[in-house]
Amino acid sequence: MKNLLLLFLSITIAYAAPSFLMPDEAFIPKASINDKMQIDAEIEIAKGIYLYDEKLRVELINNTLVRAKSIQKPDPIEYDGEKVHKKTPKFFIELEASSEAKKTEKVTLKLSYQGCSEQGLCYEPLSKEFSFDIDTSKLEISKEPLQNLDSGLKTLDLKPKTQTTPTQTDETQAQELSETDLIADTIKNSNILIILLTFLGFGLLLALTPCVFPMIPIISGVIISQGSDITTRKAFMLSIVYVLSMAVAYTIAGVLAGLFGANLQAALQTPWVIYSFAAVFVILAMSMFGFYELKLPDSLVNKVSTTSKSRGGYIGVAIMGFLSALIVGPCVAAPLAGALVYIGQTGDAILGGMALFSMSIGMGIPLILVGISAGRFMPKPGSWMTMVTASFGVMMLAVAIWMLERVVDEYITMLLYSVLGISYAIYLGALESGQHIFKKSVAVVLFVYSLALLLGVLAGSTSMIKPLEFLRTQASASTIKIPTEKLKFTKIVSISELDNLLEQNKGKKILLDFSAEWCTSCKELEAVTFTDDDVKAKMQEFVLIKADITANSKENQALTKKYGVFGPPALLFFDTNSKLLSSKTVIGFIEPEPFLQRLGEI
Amino acid sequence: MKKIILLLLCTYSFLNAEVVWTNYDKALKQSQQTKEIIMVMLGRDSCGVCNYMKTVVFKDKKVIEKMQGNFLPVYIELDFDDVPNNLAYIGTPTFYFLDHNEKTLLRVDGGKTTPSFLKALHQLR
Repeated sequence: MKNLLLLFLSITIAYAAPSFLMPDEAFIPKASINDKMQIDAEIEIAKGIYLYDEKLRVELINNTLVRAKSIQKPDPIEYDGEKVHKKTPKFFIELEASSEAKKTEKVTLKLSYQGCSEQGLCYEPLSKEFSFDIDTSKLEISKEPLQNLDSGLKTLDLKPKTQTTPTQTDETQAQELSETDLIADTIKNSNILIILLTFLGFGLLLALTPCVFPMIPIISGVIISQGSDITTRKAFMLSIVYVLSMAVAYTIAGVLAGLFGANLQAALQTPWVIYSFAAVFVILAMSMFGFYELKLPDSLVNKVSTTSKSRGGYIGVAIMGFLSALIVGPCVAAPLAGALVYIGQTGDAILGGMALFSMSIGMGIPLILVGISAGRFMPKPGSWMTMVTASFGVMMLAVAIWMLERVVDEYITMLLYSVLGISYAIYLGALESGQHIFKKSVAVVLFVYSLALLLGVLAGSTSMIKPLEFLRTQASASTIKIPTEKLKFTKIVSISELDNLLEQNKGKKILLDFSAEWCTSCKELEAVTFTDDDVKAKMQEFVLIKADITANSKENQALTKKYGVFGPPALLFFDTNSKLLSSKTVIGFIEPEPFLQRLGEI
Repeated sequence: MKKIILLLLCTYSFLNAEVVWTNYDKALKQSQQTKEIIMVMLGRDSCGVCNYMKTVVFKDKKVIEKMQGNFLPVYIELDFDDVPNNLAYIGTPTFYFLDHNEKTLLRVDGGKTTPSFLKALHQLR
């Protein structure tokens, strides 16, 4: 093979230094169009010049409505191990038009080529463009749909190459709606009463998620702290006030989020708000322990009438409800996001707001029941009563610690939990004799668990469920390690970081998890769904990216806005071309079973 | 004994010798000290003649021997690299032989066989 070249080169030395043709002498591209709107093109090559077949391209550019139906080209010959053309290659191009084409369409034919002189010089890659006005009435009308016109760029590589045709699946997927969009559509198309009832139902379902759990000790505590003279009626009224203000807070936050994309809840997840709110719970707890009574100063009480004194209780409860909605339970679930999308799309804050309000009431109904029973079964003063209020005090402290989890290290919160648990167990009489068997058992179990927590913290564990995990790893060091690898997420906080990763992982399926440390549902998702063995196995197929929006920084906001995410948790999927599959998005907590199914659809 | 080892080492290094391509800045710096001639080859991956030069001519023992200590080879891939001093070319490969002041001593358009390439090298040094 090389010998051929060698031969030519040796011949050329015989004639001293070769003089080469200039590129425009070596190659002369030509193109013309006939009456039938067929294009004849050629690249005339001088003697002793050859063209690489691989570098030869004939393409129609700049027009989406006219494309090449067929391009005829000559076959290359083999020369020194390469496919080349040593004779002027001639092309014949037949065109076809889309039904949307105008009478006259301008098309540009581009010829690209590269070749060498047999005397041993390769020319630079060259190209030449020719423009033609096409009378489309003389053309065949394309039967294929417009989208398949390959975005107007019909390239014919003379090397047989598979033509890429856009897949139909993209379109069908675009029509498929995500849960969120479905809910937004429901609001658009349904009767107002149905909307409100549906959202009430959504709310009731949401009440069973961990988002609402922390509110149970809060409302019970608030009602019990009113004192032993509370009536069922007053307990009911207080609960209603609490729930109503919670609903108002949700609605306001939701409407603002929908209209402006502002995330009020995230804005309130700043350390100082968390610290102050935790402090409020500590104060409440202390009052339940009987250190002092929470009352307005006497001077103030004397100035206003007695009725306003009782109203003061309501205002306190209202504030509590308002704040707990924003700070305690910042959970985003599909119905909430759906209502927000509706508000965002239509600007109709009234209907969207009503839906949100209705949903919040649904969430609050179980809380009202809790509140009533707290008032109703309020024990009469005595040692029993003291114990119950103290227990609620402990719960308040637990809520305070739970809130701190979002801003302080988990070692510290775990230590606090263990100290709280140990103290409470001792208070209940875990270390004393002569207690009732039931009370003693509870106290001892709590004591042992809290001690385990303390030991766990000291050993560097952060798991509330398995604080003594470190013992097991030592004990089972010799046994075969079961592959329970933790899923590896790559953390990102901004659009640019995400784009980089998307670029890097082209060709792979990607799962993007919006998460924040203050997000209860995210924790639940990680603890329940992501730990399921089947889910874990399936998730290994994906490149896992975690968008950490804890800080709620400008970058975080830009990121959530770009993907239309109102708050965490949200799971987004990208296909192998890094294209977002918006219909597959999961908003809010999802059980392992349906999640597995969703993963299977990607 | 030492001489034998030295000889063996020399033979070994000779057998394994090859043209070591460098970049233009390094070559220029070295040339200012050693007065070796800089040989710039402008090429492209897609150019068959360039590949002939790389796989045949520059693998030739005589060429390698001649280049050592006399010429500093620099390869410029036109697809990615900037052309130093905007050296002109009509195609690839194009060779420029430059002295330590970047003055062109010889321009060679196109590839050559081993004997004629060697002849050009001998002309220069």
